[in-house]
Amino acid sequence: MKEFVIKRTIRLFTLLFAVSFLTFMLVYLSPIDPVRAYIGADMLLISPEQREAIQSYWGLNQSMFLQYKQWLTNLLSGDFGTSLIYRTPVFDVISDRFFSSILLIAIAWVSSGIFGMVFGTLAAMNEGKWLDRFIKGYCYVLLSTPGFWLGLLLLMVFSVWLGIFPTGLSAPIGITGSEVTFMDRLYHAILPAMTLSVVGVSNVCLHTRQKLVDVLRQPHILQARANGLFGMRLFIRHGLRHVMIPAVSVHFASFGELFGGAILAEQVFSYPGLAQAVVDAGLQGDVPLFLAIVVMSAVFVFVGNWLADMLYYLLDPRLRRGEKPS
Amino acid sequence: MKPILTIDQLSIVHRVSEQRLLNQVTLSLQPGEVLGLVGASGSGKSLLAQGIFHLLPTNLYRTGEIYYNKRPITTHDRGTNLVYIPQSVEALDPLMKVGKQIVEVIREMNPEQKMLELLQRLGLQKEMASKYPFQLSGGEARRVLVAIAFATQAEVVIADEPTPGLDEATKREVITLFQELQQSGKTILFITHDFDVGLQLADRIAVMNQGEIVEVADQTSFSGDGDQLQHPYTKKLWQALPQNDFTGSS
Repeated sequence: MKEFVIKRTIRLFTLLFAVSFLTFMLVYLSPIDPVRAYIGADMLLISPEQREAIQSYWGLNQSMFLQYKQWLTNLLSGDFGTSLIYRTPVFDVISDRFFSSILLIAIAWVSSGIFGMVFGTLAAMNEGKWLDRFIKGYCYVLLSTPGFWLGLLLLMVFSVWLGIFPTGLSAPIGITGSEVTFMDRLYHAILPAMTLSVVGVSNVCLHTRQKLVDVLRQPHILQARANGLFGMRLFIRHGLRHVMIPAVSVHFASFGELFGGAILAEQVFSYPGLAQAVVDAGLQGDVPLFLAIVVMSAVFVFVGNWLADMLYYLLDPRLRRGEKPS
Repeated sequence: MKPILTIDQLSIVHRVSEQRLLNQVTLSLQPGEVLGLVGASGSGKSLLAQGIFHLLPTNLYRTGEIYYNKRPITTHDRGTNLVYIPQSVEALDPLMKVGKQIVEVIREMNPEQKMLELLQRLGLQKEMASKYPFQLSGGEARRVLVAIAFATQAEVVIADEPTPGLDEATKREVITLFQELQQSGKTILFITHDFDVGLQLADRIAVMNQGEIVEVADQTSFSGDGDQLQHPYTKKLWQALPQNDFTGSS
């Protein structure tokens, strides 16, 4: 167990190093000029001398490796640098938006997990019947639906036509930040979260369904049924745990997809989360902010996969007691 | 004596092709009797077991009736009056501790206590209860399956090929276990393709070929050249055994 944790931690740091270096290199090689991105339209007003002064102030006249080294040293002392577009420390920008994004992702993740498991189980228990065909059809349709299009559709129906949910943003307009309640936040997060979760539902649902269909054909289920178990009791005792294993690993490993999906959902709903910040940072050449978010999302996805492995380990006694699973 | 289990003209038919996999099988078991059902692989023995429990794959259906103490069997009889001992040890849930699997079929007070008694009776350590099936040896797993059969207190045991691919020592062990079951007063339908094992355990032997019962004979009829056997297929099976010089196969 100890060995497992140490191995994983080493792997996390190697991964973070590689991801940050690659991102740094890509940004360095990109055609966006940070000075121009910083100055914006006033670019024509500054002299080449002033420009050079800015460049040397930021260390842009140094080689890429020196710049990277500088960034990494600052990072290790807890300094993420200053965001060029927001003109505040990167850490403040991120922590502000982190809550919004986590709320969004958490709602989407939990609801797609629960609904996916329930629908998948219902479908498998009624294999071949109309309920199964309906759920399967529903999942296939959703799987082939682009997330942003679904977002627009939800926006049209629930915000424009029915007026139940707000059309965008993460808080009501016209009040100060301190007046925003958690309920306000939640209310604004529901539609984007729904957009995000719907595709996740199909994924978990189809995995759960297929696994349960397979499990129900196994000899131990026949045996349990011959011994008088049936219905929900049979499922809870002899099916649930078997189904949990693939569902949990699929679902925790979906952190990456979820983060990618959040970028689209946040764009559609003008929801000011991390994902929208990363798009702005990328387009406007805000290297410190961009790098920080990339590193953070790498940690996020890594933790998701790591939790999936850990849970797998806890749920399957064959792994826990040092045997290979069948 | 009135039979405890009667299989009356049981046929199992494929839904699409209408092919009869089991044709008009009629058998009855007296209380306390061991009936061996022998036949080659694919003759429909396991289907018969699944048919009795009404647990056929969805592409098959059955006709005919099965009676327990002269009344038709219902799903309620599963695990209360009838119990199934399956072919493979995979019938144990791989993700559930052995003790729990035994406890869940016990319908009495103090199931934990009862489970520990059963383990002891079958010569298994107490610690076995907290093990998972993959940690058991083949012989231990089979004892657990028998423990489950004991735990249900069902009077009729349907055992589907409990001895395939076992080494001689484990096979003997399983036979002993079934003799114990029999001595405790259970009625056993023992399905096997191993003629030898069937003869060691059964009072009567039913021979199955291509979905039909060709002959039901007393265990004592299987002696000498098999002169007391009626059907040529039964004779052939008997004479093909090693101790009868394999004459049936020539």
